[in-house]
Amino acid sequence: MHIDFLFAFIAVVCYAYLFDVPLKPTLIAGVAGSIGWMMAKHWISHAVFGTALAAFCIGMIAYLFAPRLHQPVTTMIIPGIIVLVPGTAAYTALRYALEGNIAMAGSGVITVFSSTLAIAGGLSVSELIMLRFNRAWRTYREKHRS
Amino acid sequence: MEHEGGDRLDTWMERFQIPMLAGEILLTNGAEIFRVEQTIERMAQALGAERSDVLVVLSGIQASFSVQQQVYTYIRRVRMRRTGLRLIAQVNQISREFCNHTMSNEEASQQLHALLTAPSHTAPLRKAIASSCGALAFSLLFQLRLPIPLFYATLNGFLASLIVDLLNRWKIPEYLATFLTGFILTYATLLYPQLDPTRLDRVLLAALFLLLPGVPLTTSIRELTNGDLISGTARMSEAMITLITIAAGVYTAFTLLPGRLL
Repeated sequence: MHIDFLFAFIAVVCYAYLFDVPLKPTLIAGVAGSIGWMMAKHWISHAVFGTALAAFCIGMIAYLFAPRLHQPVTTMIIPGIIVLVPGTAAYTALRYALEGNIAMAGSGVITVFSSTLAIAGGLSVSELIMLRFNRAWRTYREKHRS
Repeated sequence: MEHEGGDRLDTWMERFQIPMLAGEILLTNGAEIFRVEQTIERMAQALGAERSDVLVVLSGIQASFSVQQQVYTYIRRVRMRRTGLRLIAQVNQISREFCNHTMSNEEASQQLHALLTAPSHTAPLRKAIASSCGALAFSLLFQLRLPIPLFYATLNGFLASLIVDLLNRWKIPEYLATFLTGFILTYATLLYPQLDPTRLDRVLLAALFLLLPGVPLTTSIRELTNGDLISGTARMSEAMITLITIAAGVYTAFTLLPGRLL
């Protein structure tokens, strides 16, 4: 189970390379993505809640490091959430629909929508928190420098 | 507010091309809509626009900047879209320096033009190797632990990236390329010897993961909740069409090879 951490890290780093991300954000996104994977699949048993919390953590890490590395948040969030996004679930749902298995297709579509909503919600909450935190941190630093 | 110094960009008409160019590069390389709008507005403000209204949709940018009782309006059509996050980071850097006035108009314009023409693609072979490693890692995450299916999954990842690159180079229309990639990969997977049919799906998925629109789907929801209704809807429809195209390709391959699974 713990080896999954490494696999998720490799997956994120490879996809970050495909998305042409610079090196430092790649490594941060790798760590964030593997924490997200462990949280969504192993640490929290409720699937949707786990996904939301994982996206929240990825967002927190990305927003924490973005101003410090002078990188846009996008370079860390997009590779980071690659392990969470329901691409395979969407594909499976569509496969069921094509086979005529409407019940399974419907449940698949619901899974896809709930997890996309969970990821979007988690990211927005982390953005809300971290934008304020970063601003407060900046004013604090400036006050203590002068 | 006029900028001092020997600007060759001496009319407002030309100056406002700088934020438009930055926005175009951001949109082409897959930045979120609100980030594109924010960047254009900030750069226009740094230039001295009194009011700027920017409407970015997935397929183009419309903006009007007012300065000294004059309104300058621009429309940029963006046709090609890809994911090149390094360029987003570079535009971000230029925009930050530009807004701090540590970079002149000319310099910014020059650097942005250089980014527009720069080849963002890394070598196809390296991309294919990264894709195969990604496929291997993903199939390990999907609890596939036997050596033969793992090898096939890696091979599929390698092939997927190469096929996508090749079809791109031949200028095949986007959706036809997606269909063909799905079809070829599925056909290849069905022809692999000694592959247990129960693991076939996961071996296939490892390769298709490169094409599946998981990230656009999530981005579309983020944009919808953010109030960018047009772009969110457009991105979601695009993701849906891509999904249907992939499924059609896979399904065609299955029906052409009867007696296996379906």
